[in-house]
Amino acid sequence: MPQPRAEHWLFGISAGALLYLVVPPMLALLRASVVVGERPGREGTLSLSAYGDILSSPDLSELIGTTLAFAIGSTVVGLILGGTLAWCVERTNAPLKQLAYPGIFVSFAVPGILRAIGWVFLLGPRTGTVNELYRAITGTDGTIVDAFSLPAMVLVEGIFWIPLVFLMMAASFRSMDPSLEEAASMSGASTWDTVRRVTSALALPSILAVVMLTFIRSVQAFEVPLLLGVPGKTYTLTTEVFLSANAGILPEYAFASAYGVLLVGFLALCIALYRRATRRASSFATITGKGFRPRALDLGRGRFVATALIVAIVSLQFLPIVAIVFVSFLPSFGIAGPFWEQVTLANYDRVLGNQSLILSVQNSFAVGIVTATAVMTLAAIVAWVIIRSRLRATAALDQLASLPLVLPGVVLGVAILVLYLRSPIPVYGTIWILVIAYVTTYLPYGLRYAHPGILRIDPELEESAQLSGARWSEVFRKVVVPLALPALFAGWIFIFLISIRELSVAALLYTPRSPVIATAMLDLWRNGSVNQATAFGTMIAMVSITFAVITYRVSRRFGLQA
Amino acid sequence: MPTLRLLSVLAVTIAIACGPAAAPATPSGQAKQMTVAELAAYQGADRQRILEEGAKKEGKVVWYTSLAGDIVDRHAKAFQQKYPFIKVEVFRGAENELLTKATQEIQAGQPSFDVIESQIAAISLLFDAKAMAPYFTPAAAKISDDFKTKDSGNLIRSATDRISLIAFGYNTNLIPESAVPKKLEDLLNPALAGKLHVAGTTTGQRWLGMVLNTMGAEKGKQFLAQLATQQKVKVQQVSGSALLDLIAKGEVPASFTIFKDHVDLAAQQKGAPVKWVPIEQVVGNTGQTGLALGAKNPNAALLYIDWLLGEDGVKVFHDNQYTVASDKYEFKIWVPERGKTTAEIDSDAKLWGDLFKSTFR
Repeated sequence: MPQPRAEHWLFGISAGALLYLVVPPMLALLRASVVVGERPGREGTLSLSAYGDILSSPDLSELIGTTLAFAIGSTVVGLILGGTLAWCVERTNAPLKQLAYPGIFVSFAVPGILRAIGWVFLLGPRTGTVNELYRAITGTDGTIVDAFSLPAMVLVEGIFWIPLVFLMMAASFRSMDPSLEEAASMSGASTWDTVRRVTSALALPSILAVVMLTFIRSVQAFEVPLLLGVPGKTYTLTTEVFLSANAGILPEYAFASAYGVLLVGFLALCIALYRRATRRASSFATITGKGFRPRALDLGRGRFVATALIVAIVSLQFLPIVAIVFVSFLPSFGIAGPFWEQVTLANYDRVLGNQSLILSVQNSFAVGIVTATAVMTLAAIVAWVIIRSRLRATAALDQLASLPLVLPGVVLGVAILVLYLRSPIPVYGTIWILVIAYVTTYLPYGLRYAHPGILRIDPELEESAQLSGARWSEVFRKVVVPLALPALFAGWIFIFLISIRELSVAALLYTPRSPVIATAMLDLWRNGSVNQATAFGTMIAMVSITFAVITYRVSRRFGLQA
Repeated sequence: MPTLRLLSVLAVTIAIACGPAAAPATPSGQAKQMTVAELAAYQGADRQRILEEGAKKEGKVVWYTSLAGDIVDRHAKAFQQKYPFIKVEVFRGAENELLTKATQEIQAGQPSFDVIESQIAAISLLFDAKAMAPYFTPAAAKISDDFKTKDSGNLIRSATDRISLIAFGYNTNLIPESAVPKKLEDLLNPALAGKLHVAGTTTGQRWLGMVLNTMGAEKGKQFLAQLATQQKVKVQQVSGSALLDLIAKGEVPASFTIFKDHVDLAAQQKGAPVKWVPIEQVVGNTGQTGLALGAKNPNAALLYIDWLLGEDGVKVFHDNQYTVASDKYEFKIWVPERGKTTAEIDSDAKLWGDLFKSTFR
């Protein structure tokens, strides 16, 4: 255990940083939820009407039912597909498993809204590729799947979550002591039993973290419910909130804010459950004083099944992108004649003709690197304090760092804008304001990556370092960080990639002098060229993947080897 | 008061005409700088020269716009060719983003935009907040009164630089020529049942407003209810151009909330099987240009406004398939906000939004 002094000042630093980052936007959220009718130069009025309107929505119970079905379904789909992929890649000898990482990274760079459109092209009842294939094969004129239905929404949202689940679970599987699994199989357990009762049990903190993140974010998701739900008249609470908010000359942020506030209670419950399940930290300590090397399970012939699973799950990421990338080489949709006669690079040419493109890529990479590093550093310290400290207030720290999860992007954007326009800290009009906004947004994710990563480390390792005379900073730098590195780096990559394509926060905070990729992407999307937006997304994806793969390789040299 | 303003304008003019060296020689020792409002109202023969000289010192203009795509850079580039000494810095965003950003900047006393280009409602709201200045531009003479908001004298608050026309767009392979509607009532044609989609954005809501305006409130509501139930109209929440992509692909056969410029671009330049026909009244989304009262670069801003609303700007808009205020059409265009106060625009928007929800849900 650390010296009491280190424990105290680390708690102080963490609490200070979190209060600074989280409290102002949360206050802004609260305020926005009770102020309606605000106009330029005119104060709004205090009112609880936004809460009232949400809670008195017609068919509230039906809306809640649909929302829960959507969120639970998406979480389950994401967990099963992402978890399976992570297990196949990290713990088996499946051929071609090294394709999974670049495959997963690809999907990051393309914004959700474009991928949702891609799914309409694949699953659309009239001209969706899947239904056209079905009709061609069966000779009927029916449909096998309807993009505008609840099952399709669940599938698409679930697939959106695969990268997050995969990165988090892969880090967990990689740090697992294989001797525990060996003991299980020696005692006669089948592979399935071992996976279920040993591997999954040890990965519980990661699984819970993933469930918490995906569930809460799915309850708040609006791209898929809007694009796929509304045409088929499947309404969730988010679409209800969105449609109410946009009836009027100015959007009423009150609805989205009130909805966020209502979710705070729910979030607190999730965190309490998580803390309860992970209370006995020693149960999850897989990294102990005994040396180990995670072993790849020999699946025998089954390894080809694992490869098929890897290819299939990665393809689910690719398919919607391919559906639109295909069109990025065409002048438009619906043109008659064979593909090769129409093929053109005009979309790429137009995108590349944009002068500020290179500048926006540079800016986005700078913002992404700084954001990811800042978030993971803070998250590692906070997670360590939460796990190792015996101070009772650590529960509050956990809650505080998780709160931004309920902040809608646009509300955070407005809050940061209002704050730094009046703050003496001169970040308004620079890209640093984006860093502050992103660090706040991604803090909950960073913490959920770091927490299970540190939970896996047996405290004995730190204690022995301390007994050998190491100071706290040395222990942290030379023991904790290296051992938690797979998890910390998985979080770093996730945040780096997701911050590059984040649209809603950037829309308000970017400045004319420092464009970022997200604003260029938004512009293409609004100007209405799905083809061009995809061409741009494809190019950004290539650059990001190259960068991610290189850093991933480098990091593996320093982290645990699979 | 007008005499005083004239005098000060005169003083500044003389000071500038004599060059910077002469300025200290004026009785007060320093020529009084024209305020943004004064400069914006100035109509002397030497206006162009004053603006150019002022703009040389400013070196840039900050432009907030809800235009999207290549057109933004093309405007900036073409303007810089004419005035190489003025850099155009652009912040682009949706109308509500521009409005939020501009409002917050104004309330914090740090306005950073000179010129704003957005829908009438946004500029009207900013005027209510006393953040905008009425201005004179020689280009306004060519814009009909329908497309500008006048202030006192020949000053205007804002003028339309471009119009997007919204009516019926369809896939030519899926909708036979005989079923293509010519008037609103034709949308009830049984041949179109199950084939019509509507944009769930404000575009769809404004279209509803047009129906009420064209048919009258009672008849309009009846028509909408019949349209929704009989034709099973589906709501699409994608952007206007993505909706057109869905039409070109054939996933959506037709929609009555399609932008003409998107269709022109897709059909003429790209060969997509889509067509646009007007159904009266055609809804007009207008982009208007206004000048910030707190503009830090007022000279460059006025030059930019002259340019945007004048012949050079019109050429760039036309080259990019946009319609401008001086274009003539055989069909009737209805601009929902025309001649209304902010409060009226606000209550209309709310009314149509609620009606949209109850009609198409």
